[in-house]
Amino acid sequence: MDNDKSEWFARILKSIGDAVIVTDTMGCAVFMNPAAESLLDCPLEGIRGKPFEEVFCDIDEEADYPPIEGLDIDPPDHVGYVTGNGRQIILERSISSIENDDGFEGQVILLHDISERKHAEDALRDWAERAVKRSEAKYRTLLEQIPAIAYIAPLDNLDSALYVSPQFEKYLGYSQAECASDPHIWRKTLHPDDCGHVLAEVARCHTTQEPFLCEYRSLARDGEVKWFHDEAVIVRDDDGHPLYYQGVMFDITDQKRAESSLRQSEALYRSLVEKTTDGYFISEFPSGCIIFFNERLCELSGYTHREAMHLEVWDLIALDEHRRVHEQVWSKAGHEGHICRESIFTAVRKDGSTFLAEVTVSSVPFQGRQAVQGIIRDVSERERLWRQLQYVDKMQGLGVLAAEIAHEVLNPLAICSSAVQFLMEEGNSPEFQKECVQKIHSGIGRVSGIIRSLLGFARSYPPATEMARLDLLSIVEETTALISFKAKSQRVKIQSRSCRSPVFVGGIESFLQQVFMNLLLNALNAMPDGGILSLLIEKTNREVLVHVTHNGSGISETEVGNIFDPFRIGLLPGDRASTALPLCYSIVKQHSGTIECKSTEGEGTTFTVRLPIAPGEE
Amino acid sequence: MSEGTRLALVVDDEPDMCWVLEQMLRRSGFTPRMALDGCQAIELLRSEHFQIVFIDIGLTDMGGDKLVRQVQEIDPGTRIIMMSGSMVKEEAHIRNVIQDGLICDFIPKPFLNREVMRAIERACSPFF
Repeated sequence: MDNDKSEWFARILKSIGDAVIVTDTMGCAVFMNPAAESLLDCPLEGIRGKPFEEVFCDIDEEADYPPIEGLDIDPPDHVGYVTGNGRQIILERSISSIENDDGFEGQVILLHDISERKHAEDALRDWAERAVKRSEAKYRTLLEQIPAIAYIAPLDNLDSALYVSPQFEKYLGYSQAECASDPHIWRKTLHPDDCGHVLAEVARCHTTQEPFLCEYRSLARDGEVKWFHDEAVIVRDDDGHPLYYQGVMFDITDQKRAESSLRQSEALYRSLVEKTTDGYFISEFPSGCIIFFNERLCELSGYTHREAMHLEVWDLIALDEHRRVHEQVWSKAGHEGHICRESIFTAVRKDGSTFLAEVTVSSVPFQGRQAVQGIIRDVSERERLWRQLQYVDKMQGLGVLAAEIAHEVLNPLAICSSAVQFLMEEGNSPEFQKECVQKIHSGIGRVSGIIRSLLGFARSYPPATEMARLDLLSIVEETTALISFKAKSQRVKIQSRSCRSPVFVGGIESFLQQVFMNLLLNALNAMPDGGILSLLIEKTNREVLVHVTHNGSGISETEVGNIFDPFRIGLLPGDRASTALPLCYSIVKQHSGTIECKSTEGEGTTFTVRLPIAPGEE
Repeated sequence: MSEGTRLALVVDDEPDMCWVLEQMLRRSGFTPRMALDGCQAIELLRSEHFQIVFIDIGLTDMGGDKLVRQVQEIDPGTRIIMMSGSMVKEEAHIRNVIQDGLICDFIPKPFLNREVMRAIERACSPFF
């Protein structure tokens, strides 16, 4: 029976695919099945009698199978084996004891080749390790390249870092080695003024274990002040246990500087706006609701700040000026980048009194809304002085003409005088007497004409302030008549070409007379030895153009550029030219027109005045 | 022109002023001619001899003083009387022609007719 059993077992052992080795009580192999021989590439004789330590090499690794309950089997282990042809294989080895009634009889060892599995596992582990290293390297590279200082600090000691990224040196001048040797280096760099609140925040975080968040200044090694935005969070393990603080210090010095300079410029702007001697407002566009009103404008208008906030810009403008201001200023003010400079209108105070205001407006974004800002200046006094100057200039102009006008008056007077003396003689024929009377009559007519044009020119002082509807043609003609005497005395020929019908413009007569008198006198001055003065009046749909051309000495390009500048170089004090042309410019501008000068040196000059045609006349 | 006819020329851009002087020249026995500017005057002076020429200082095409010098060149025997409505302005020009002895008289406007008559007489005097 035993033999049968043994044979039966032996057959089973030979036929199964697993490698089986049986040892005696001494642990020496006494049996190997064919699968074991094949696996170890060695017959039983090769290992018979050898202790296992010599056959297998220990690779110090246990297979992680859970123990099987109720079986006296040690957990399998892994061992190395070098086959007859030198191949290294890894085996999973399970050992179980054979016991019979006499006690321990030997061991059955099951071997299983797990080399391929192990290789695959090792390869996978290698790959995973490399991947971890790669990602670590990437993370580190990233960490060390961001424009910030990264750090790791223990939970209970935020101000002594375990790790500080190399940027610490870049921003604060201390190397990683210095940081490593002095764990309190961060605390030492803190700006004395910020140290208190930063350390208080550190203490709070230690107690509460909440994230750390602080903005502060640090002093770099060279003494430079740096601003940091510092944020640290607690890193926890998988079970949620806090491990350490991980933080980043962002350099915000530039941002802080920009903020500070913005604050400074804001403060400057605000003080400028508040302290300026001009009124300043911001209003919504297009509604015109006031949203800012400076102190000076309160003084000028008589409204308080609070009252001003309920106003519209239109409340500050005289009613009859609304249409003009709307057309000339407001309708254009909303266009981005557009600036309406120095428009003059009548402004109304809270008490209803008025003053002459000069306003410059432009569009400006204000708190996300489209708005219009304006500078208002009280120019009443300036305008009064300007009008005085204008009058003085006009009288000066008449003074220049005085000699010629006197000459023009003396000629007909001389004729009258002689004719009267003829009449006083006796014996004249009735025909001759009649001829004398006719000469006297025509002489008196001429003298009165001259005096009338003089009066027309000198009347209206103080000059009107309101614009009136005027025939520009007759203004130009009358003025030309007045200077014609001087033109004659200088042997300047006047050629005039103009439209036949009257051309109406809105304006102040006295001012417009002065513009043309100054331009005509300027032309005569350029032709002391005679020449041709031509006048051309053209009418277009919207404006009238008056060209005053002379062929006297022209002026250079640079002089043309500043010919309307009252302070231009090369003029002597009291020189009429220092006021005459600048006055023309101001007057024309006040009439919403333009004046320009084109000149070729040595050939002549043309001044062109453009004035808008009065409403309804286009 | 018949023998013994005495010619006089009036140069003034003012036709009525010419008319006044013509009346007086006729009364003095002259046959007056009239020129409204310097060019007309020169043309006449080149064709005939004028004993007396009245020249207004302010002509439309040239200064009266310039015409005086031209008259002296064309016909040195001519007597010239200058007139002006504004002495102040033309003062320098008038002074020059007087100093150079180019004119025999100067009459400011307006004038008394008899002053003009006297000037004509003086201009005709052989003692001048």
